[in-house]
Amino acid sequence: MPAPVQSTRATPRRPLRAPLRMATVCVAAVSLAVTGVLVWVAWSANARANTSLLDLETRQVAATLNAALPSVQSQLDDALNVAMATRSPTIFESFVESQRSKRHDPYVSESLWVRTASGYRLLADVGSHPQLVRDHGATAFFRSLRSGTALSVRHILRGSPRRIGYAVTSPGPRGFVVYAESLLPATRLQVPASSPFGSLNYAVYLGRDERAADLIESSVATPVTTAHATAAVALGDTFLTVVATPRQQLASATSAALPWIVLGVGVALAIASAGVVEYLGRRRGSAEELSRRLEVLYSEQRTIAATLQHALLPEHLPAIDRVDIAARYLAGAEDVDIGGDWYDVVSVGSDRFVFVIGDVSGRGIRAAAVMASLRFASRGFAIEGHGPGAVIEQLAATLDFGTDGHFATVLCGLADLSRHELTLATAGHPPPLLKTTGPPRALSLAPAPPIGVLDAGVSVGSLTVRTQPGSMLLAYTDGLVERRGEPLDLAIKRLATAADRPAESTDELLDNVLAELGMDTLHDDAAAIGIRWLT
Amino acid sequence: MADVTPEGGSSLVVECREDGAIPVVRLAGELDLSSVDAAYAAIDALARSGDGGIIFDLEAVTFMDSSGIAFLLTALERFGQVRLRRPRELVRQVIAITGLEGSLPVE
Repeated sequence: MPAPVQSTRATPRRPLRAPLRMATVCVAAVSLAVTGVLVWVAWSANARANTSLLDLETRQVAATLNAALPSVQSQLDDALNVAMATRSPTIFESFVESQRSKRHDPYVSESLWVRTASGYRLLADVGSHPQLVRDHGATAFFRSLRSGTALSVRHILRGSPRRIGYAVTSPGPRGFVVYAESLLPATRLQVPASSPFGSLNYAVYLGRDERAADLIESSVATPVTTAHATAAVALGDTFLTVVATPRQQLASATSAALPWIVLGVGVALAIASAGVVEYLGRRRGSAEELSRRLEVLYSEQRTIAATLQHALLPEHLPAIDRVDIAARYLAGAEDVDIGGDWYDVVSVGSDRFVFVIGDVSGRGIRAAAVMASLRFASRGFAIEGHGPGAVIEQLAATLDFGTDGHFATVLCGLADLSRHELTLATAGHPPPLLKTTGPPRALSLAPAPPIGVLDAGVSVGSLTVRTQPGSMLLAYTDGLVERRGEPLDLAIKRLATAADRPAESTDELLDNVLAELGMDTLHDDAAAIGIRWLT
Repeated sequence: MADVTPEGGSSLVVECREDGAIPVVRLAGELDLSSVDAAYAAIDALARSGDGGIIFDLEAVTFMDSSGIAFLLTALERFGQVRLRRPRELVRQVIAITGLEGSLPVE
């Protein structure tokens, strides 16, 4: 048993994981770049907001601190003035005692000193003994004082709790010095979150430098290394420096979340737009592929139809003595489907031949198939010996417009060369041109309805004309003459004029006619047959 | 009313009137292969409402080829009788040469 022959056609398959299109990659890259820029903008806006809020709040802390600072200068100045006016340590002591009783946060130590030739002598002492004296730093500190200037501030004194010393001095060689010490708080403060500055941690230093030895108080590990802002508050001849750092986001939560929102939305949009571009690109790609395949299919189909059409026409006309016969078939324009025009010549006996030219309505392979059946049927009827009228009557039975959907115009002629006669009958076909002695003219043939409409059994009349040597007949289908806006009689006259040009052969005659009519772009297909009687 | 201008084809305007006993279809423009579908569509819509003949007003038809003839013959099959109103000379000639003056009479 022979193995079954299998025919397979390899269909190129699109790889499942096709690479992304260039356009998609570009769209994604641009979208992500734009997203990156927007995220950066949102992030820096938030950072700027945080920085300026930190600056603002730090300045507010400094202002608050400034307002809260005890009026050290004025109190010490008051005590100094009392001492200078009374020069009495006792009155100084009682004045200071009275001042202390009014304050809720008194100095831990206040003392009155007088400058002598050998140094400074303690005149009065209220509160605890000055730490400065225990440190043996009094003389050096007092010598550094400049009379009449602002409050002088001694750097932080040792001890627990630590102290800070202040001094004012009066002018003159025996000037007084009023010296006071206050306690510093524990260096680590807890700032309650509910306080106006609960969002900040801060450290306060004495002086401009943020040295550990000068740290007065702080709510954060020092030195502060995270993002921070600094503000200074004047205190006597030195400053308090506030270093603040945020404990939390200072700007609004939206401001902090904005970069993340922008990032999320941007990435989502980038993915979505890239997806859409990829989808549309692939759709378009497959549509183009489909269109190309359809074009190939259509072209193949058209080639098949055209091949069929040509195959159904006679490859060679029979060689018949004493006549010169030529024929042409012209397909319609590229985008026009094939039609059903045909011609045929068949010899019937030694001196007689029949020619047929016809046109099946409609287009395509079905029209060509109807044409084939009519061509071979008419050939058969002619060979059986029927005359042109009878051939058409017989053809009438082979086609019905109602059921077949096509009709056909047919011209049939029988030439009798010994009798010099030509008999013609037509079923709805345009009249042929005959040239005998004068110029070519259309024969007045009474047309029967076309095949398919013509009722079977109706008698079809025919016309017989005499031929002579040099007689010429040109039969054609309507595709040869049909022009928009031109009545057929004028079109046929135009054809007659073209056919009147002198020609050596029917081949040349047909070439002349086709050239004259300008058959470059045919609306319809067309066929023509020319016959010249040589004797 | 359908105004059909197929790509690269001809323009045909089809108007149907059914106020009388017999439907009247007015065609205007070029009746050929590229435009004839609009004419078929018009009589397809009529076929349900009429079977006693049909009139085609061809006054404004400026060109007709064998596709137009096939269309008129289809209408003849479907409606039993076709009459043509005011066809132009070039349409008359196409019908005369095709031997259809008897089947497609002018009213």
